[in-house]
Order: sequence, then C-alpha cells, then structure tokens
Amino acid sequence: LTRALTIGAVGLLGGLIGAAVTTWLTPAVQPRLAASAELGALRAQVDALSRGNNRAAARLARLEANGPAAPQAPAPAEPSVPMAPEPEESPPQRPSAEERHQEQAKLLAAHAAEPVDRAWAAQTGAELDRALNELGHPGKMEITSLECRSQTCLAHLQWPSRQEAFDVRRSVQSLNSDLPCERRLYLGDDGENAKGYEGTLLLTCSR
Amino acid sequence: MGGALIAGAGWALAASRSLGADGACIRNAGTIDNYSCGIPVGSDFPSDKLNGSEIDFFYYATSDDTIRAATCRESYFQPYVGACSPNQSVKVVLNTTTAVQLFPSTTSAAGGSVYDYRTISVWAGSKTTTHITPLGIYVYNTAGY
Repeated sequence: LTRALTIGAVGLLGGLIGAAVTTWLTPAVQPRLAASAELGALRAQVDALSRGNNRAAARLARLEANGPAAPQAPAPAEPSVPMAPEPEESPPQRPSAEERHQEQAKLLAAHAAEPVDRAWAAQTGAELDRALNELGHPGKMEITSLECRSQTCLAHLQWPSRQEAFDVRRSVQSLNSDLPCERRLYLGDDGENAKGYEGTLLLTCSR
Repeated sequence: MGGALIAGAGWALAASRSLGADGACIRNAGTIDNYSCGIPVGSDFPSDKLNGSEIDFFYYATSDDTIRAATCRESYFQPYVGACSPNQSVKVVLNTTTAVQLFPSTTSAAGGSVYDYRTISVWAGSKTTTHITPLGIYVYNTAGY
C-alpha cells in the first residue's frame, strides 16, 4: 500500500504540474513564451514526470500480478524509496563436469609441481600403502602407482569396472590411518581403460 | 577487551544442530562396523559456514582396535568426487561398553557445492569384534542460524 500511495503521489504531482503548465500556456500568454527557453524547460519537466509515472504504473502492475493484495489499513508514513526492480533469487549453479575436471587437473598439476621431500615421501608413502592394502582389496582394487612428494600423495587405483570402484568408494576414503591428510577420491568418466577402470586418490597432508 | 568483544560476537553468531542416530545414520556394507550419518545443510544451515562436527557413539570391543571418524563430502554428479577430512581416532578399551565423542574436522565437508552430500562417518579398524552403536551427531556453523 505504501508503494501504491507513493506511486499515486508521484502521479498526482505530475498531473498538478501538467495542469498548471496547461493553464499557464493559454493563448494569451503563449506567444510570450513560445520562443523562450523557459517553455522548453517546463515541457522537459512534464515529460520527465510522465515517464516516471509510467514506470511506477508498470511496477504497480507487476506487484499486483505477483503478490497478494495490499492490506487496506493505512500504512505508516515512510520515506519514498527508489523504485529499482528487486533482484530475483535464483538457485546456485551446480559446478559442471568440465569445472570438476578442471579442478581435478589443477590439483594434479599442483601435486606434480611440488618438490620432493624424500624422508617424508618415503614414510608417508609406506603408511598410505599399508592402509590401502589393509582394506583387503575392496572390489578387487589394485594399487597401480603411489607417489608422495612433500605434502601430497597421489595413488592410482584400478578396479575391474567403474561400478566396483563406486561400490567401495567409502572404504577407500575411510582409510585406517592416522595420517593428518585430507583424502580426495576422484572417479571420473575418463578412467575407463583396457583393464577396467582407474580412479585417483589424492592426499593433502598438513605437516 | 576488544578481543573479548569480538569473541563474544562470534559466539553469539554460532549455531548448532543435533541429530539422533536413528534418523541420520546408516550402516555401510561390510563385516566391520562402519556408519555414516548425514549432515543436514541448506539455506538455513549453510554448508560453507560449517566449522565443527561431533559424533557420539558407544562401542564394545574384545580385541585391540582403533575406531576412527571423519567428515566427508560427496558429489554424485559426474565425475564422482569424495573428500574426507583427516581422521580422528580413539584406541579401544576392552570388554566394557564405552561412550566416546569424536570431533572430526569439517574442512572437507565445508567446501564444494551446495548440492554435495555431507556425512560424518565412524568405523572400526580391522576387527569384526568391535561393535559400534552410533548415538547421534552435532554440527556447528558460524552463520548464526
């Protein structure tokens, strides 16, 4: 209702100014002003008010179409606000497969670029190998490669099929190890190979 | 003084949720006890504001073992990506039913997309004789709701 009153006030103001200008521009005084710059300025003001009124009417129509009727009780006076359209809330976008691939490629590139701390790599690699083997080859999993550097470890894991990899994903993520490492298992659609399916396990460790 | 005020403001903005295991946890397949409990997130409990998790459980063990817990995030849109925080662990005390709280980090669970699933998991080491009974989970956020 407040918005409707505001719109009405704008429209009334435009109408009053328009009527005043119309009255003022009677044939008797018109010749005096016809050539003056003041007339042009007044016409511009009337046009501006008219345009504002049209926008307000359009917004009112949108509000009436989208929302329930405004309450009939008088609303408390509040300062008029700009009538910019309200932003519509849209659901957040899902990351696309391409974005996920790019994220994985970025992590793998960071791992490859990492310097090697031989002592840490040997110790952490041995513990990761032990923990993966302790899983008991879930889904007939095989460790095809395992490489630790100075903060990350990358293991390539092979299963007979993608489905078998997916079935045991939680076992692989839940390693029986106290390594201070976040585990990230990636089962992409690029893992199919002649032997079955290959996924990657990336560990990012704090030191 | 200023630090205390800031800390107080942070506390005032914190919020938490608790869920009983009956509705939130499932036993994963396998001979060794392994449970995953779902963390509810949404616009009223935003995942990127998660800053703490807790899982409470009983266990009974008759052989030396270690029980571990982690918070994880899983995306089932292709490609599959699962990420888990470093484990929290406890060595078992034998032949007595014991209640334990573990507090795995939420760094992995707080990342990713709002469409990802988030869980707290608890599992026994390598012994089928270690029996876990999850009781429930608590999760905390910094959003204040």
